[in-house]
Amino acid sequence: MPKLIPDVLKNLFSKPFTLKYPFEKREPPENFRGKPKVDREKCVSCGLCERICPPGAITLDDEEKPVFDLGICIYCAECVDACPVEAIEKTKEYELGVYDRSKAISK
Amino acid sequence: MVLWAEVLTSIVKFLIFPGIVFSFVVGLFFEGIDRKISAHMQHRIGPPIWQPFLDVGKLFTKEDITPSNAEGWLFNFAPYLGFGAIITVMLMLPVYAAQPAFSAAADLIVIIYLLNIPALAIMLAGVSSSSSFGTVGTERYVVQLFAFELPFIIASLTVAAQANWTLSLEGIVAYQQANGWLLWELPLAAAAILLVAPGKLLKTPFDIPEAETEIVYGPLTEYSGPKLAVFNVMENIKILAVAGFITALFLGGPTAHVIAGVQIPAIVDFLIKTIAILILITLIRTVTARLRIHQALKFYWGFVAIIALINLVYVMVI
Repeated sequence: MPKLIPDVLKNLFSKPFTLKYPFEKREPPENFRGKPKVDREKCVSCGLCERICPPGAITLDDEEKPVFDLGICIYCAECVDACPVEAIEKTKEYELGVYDRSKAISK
Repeated sequence: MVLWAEVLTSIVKFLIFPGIVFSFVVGLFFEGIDRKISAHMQHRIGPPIWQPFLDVGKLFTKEDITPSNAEGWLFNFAPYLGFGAIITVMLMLPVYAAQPAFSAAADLIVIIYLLNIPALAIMLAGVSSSSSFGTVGTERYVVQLFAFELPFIIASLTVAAQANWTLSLEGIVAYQQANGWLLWELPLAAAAILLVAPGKLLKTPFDIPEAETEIVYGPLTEYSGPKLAVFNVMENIKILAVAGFITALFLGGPTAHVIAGVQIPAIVDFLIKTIAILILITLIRTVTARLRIHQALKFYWGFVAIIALINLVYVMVI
């Protein structure tokens, strides 16, 4: 006889482990690598983030400040480590779906 | 006047209760209950209880494809053959009282044979679709049918033998109302038939013919759209029919109770007993893995048939 039966009966009468996602969300842990965000005041336009980005998601706009293409970004946070003045921070946002590709940028 | 009333009652019994509408609704709710309880046993929430209605509705909107190499007429006819047979079984089971809805030919042996016709329909579907998955599924289903029919018939005959050789379900239910449930008097036969139930309904550990991880969907691989919906509904009504059959044989059938002065109709009693059998089948399906076909055959002929035979010999000799 399977030894699973006591476990199964215990599960039947306890609260399920499922998280009902859009209605109940879980807080991401510390050091979670979400959307990268740049503080334009602190940025000194050195270009190190553009050079180090592995897939090449960072470009510098007309004011020489970085613009992130969130479709290409792999959320590795190398730009955060590379910035000498700590102008880029990694946020905890992960719900980044859009209907229009041109809106998937972070300035 | 009386003829008109009789014809109208017969049409209502055939179409609505306990005919097509009742069996359809209750059968699909049984599948919903089965999936929900199985999910909670696995520590998750499952689909809502009315999910099978949405599934069947979705299947009716899909395209109906017949493979070009398939045997056209048999491929198209098999689902309706099985569906018709299982509705006939539902009309012959005692559902709301000791008498079935149409009791003219409602015999134990007729019901045993009619319960095999849905299996036969799936087998015909398997060989008439042109895929090798279907053929393998049908071969396995034939072996499984041989395996479980033997203890099933022995257990049913044991019940008939105990009830003074009446072969009508009405007589068996009446015998149990006089002498108590046959579950207590014939425990080995009851155990045998409860072990046959997952085999008949193709639930794990005996879902060998439709082994989804091995042969896509077995005999029903090439079906899509409305025909697959009819097969799905047929399988779910079969759960209700087999559970209802076991209830009539061993659990006393539908009996009306009076609890604290409130008259509870027999149909409620019937539904509670069939849901209890369903929960047992769900428990077995959640904790076991699939057997191989020769293991299933050895189990049914080596163990289950022997305990049913012991009980039959005991009843006939003593």
